[in-house]
Amino acid sequence: MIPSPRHGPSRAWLPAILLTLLVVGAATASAAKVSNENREQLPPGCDAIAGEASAIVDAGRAYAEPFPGAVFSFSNRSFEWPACTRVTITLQNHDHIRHQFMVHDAFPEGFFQLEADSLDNVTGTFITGAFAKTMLAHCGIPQHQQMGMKAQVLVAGGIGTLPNILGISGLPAVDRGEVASPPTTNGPPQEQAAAPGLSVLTLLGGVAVLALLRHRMHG
Amino acid sequence: MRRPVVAAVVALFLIPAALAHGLGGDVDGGGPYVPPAETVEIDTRGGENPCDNAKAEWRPSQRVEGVDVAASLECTPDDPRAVAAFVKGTNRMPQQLLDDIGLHEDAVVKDDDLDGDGDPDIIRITLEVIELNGWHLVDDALQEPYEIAPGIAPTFWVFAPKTTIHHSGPFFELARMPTPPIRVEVGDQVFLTVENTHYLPHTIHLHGTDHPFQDAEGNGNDGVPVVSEMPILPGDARTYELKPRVAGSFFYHCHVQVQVHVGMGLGALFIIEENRPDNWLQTLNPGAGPVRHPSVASRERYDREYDMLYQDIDKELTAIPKTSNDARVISERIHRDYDATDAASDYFLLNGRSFPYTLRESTVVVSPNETVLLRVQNVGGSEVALHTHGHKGEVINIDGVPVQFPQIQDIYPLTAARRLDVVLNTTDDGFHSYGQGLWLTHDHHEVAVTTDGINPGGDITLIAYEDYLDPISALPKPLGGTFNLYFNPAYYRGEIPVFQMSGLDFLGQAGDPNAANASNTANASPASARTALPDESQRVTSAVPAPALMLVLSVIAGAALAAQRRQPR
Repeated sequence: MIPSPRHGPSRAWLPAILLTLLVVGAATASAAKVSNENREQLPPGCDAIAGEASAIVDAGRAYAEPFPGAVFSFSNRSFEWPACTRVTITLQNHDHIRHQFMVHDAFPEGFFQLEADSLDNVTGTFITGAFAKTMLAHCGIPQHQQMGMKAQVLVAGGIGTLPNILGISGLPAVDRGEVASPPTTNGPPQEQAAAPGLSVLTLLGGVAVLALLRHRMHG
Repeated sequence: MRRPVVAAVVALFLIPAALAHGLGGDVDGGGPYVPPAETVEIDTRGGENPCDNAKAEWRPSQRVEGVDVAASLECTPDDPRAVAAFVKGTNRMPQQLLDDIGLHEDAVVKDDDLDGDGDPDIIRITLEVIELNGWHLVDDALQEPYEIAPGIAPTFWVFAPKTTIHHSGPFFELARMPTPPIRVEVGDQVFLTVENTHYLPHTIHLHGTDHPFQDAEGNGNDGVPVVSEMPILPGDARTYELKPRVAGSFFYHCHVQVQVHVGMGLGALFIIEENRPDNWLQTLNPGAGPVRHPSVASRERYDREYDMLYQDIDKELTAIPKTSNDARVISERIHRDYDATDAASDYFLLNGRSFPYTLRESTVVVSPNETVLLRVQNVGGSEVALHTHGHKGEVINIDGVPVQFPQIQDIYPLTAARRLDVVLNTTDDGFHSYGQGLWLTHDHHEVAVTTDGINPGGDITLIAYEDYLDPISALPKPLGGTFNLYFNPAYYRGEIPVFQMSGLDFLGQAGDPNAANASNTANASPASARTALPDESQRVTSAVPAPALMLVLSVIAGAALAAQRRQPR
């Protein structure tokens, strides 16, 4: 029992509180989390599990060190598995913060995710689909993907390469600022500067007339 | 003799000309009558629903996992499950509940009743450093930007409760502006851990809070780079320790490159509550605002309690992290290229939002004959002159220190980092309160009631008596129209005439003067109207007369000079 804003509980509940604390605390001791694990359910188009595969993914700041400007990364950033394959991944976290390895578009829930806490390991399984596709894998903590924790999963050869994966792909032209980006919906529009042409020309004209007059005076 | 005569003749010509100007201009100087541009009615459709009521079930008082959570009559109140977790301790909550709301089981761990008074005294808080609205691929636009006002999503850095699993949806209930106020009790053994999930180094400094310079193991504990410690590197963690002996409203903030890190959002209230029996505290209050499980001492003295964090924002600063995905480049631009001495405030936040979003979650809801505690802090760099319409409040503590002779006032000045504990008395006595209503509450530096110059915006909120709230949405019910127009990004892009909502057609949007005689141009979209704005074309032409005049004067002066030079000496 926790005291309410108006009525506090009797202290007789204290031993029960402490006991509950120990029991619940023990039950939630592991910080490793697997979301949407799938070991058996076949994706559409798969008649059976075609094979087994596994991978160890190391995560942390150290894996970004070969890439100046990046901060966090995975030991491997491109994975390729056949269709209808049961894939078991172990995420090994070498940092003192949590990291994730989240595979987008995974059957059946739309994503498969491992989350490992500080210096922790976590293992989970999903089944690749029946058709070729390229799936995004990343750490979902804000800016970890952008700062290097981005990978791709090529199923049955994939359908291409995702951009901005360290050592594999670069930034699209629009993100390099080489082509115009579409208008953003966030933030106020840039202030529009007034066209200076006529004013500047008039001023230049005035200066030119003065120079001409001076030239004629001295000439 | 000849000179006065010449002067008189000149004056005879000039004086009538001057009078003619004063009486309406030169005769025939105006040319033929040109009909003015039609008034264009701007299409204001496309605005947001001011309150979707998606969280209506969170408003009533309720009990969650044995924790009583007080009612909160806000459009978007705090999630009662999160409030309960912060009171009871995340180590005592069902894992499924924590996963559902995205709160990590390490966020607030409460153990051991050291003094035997019925509440836990070892408090372990874990915060992460989260960037909101950061850089992303153009084609990979943010699905859920954190907006301070319609269409405005600056980048922020916040200390946030340690979250888990999610990076959207429930995540944004917890990882948001402002950095959450923290509450612990006098005598608690507090372990405040920062897990630096950000790409730049950070620390925590416990401003005004009783804490040792070194922890039990001799490590630096004051959060100041070099002076007490190395900053916490990306991917690393550090635990700060304190056992506070004095109650009060204090402050915690990052002390790395403070001229930008605090301005990016890394600071908030650190409140030490009096030690009382059975004093289970709401350790964190993400989003600040109403405290739905106040301390024992607060409940004894006050009917309600609110955390109110004010912060001004320079949009030039908050735009920098979006410019690159190279940490070196961002660090250079934000720590070296950006000159904080040239900073100017564009956004003014109350609890991480600006008007009208403040109405959704930071309205100060009261009833008659109540006493209400406002814990007010200025996290920003500019002074705040907080003003409460209809009420004079009593400042009882300044910077966590009791005031010997409490002052009753209607302006509460807050210098940078200042904390004021203000007590509102809603007794209708013509002094403390003028009675029920919707009473504006805002920084009286008038620029602070704008959002990038558009009014109403900024840190405006209301002291709202319950009878003046909409029973469905819990939004305040204004008497002079509707707030709906303001829930529209076009309004804060300056595309909607500010008096259009009031039906003042004569102050509406002037259309394209070249289309003055065209057929009906009403119901233009904000964007199309902006492309036809006459004042923008005039802005260009209005710049012409001055240079043209300079040209004429230059010619005259040059000719006069030449004539003078040619005269025989």
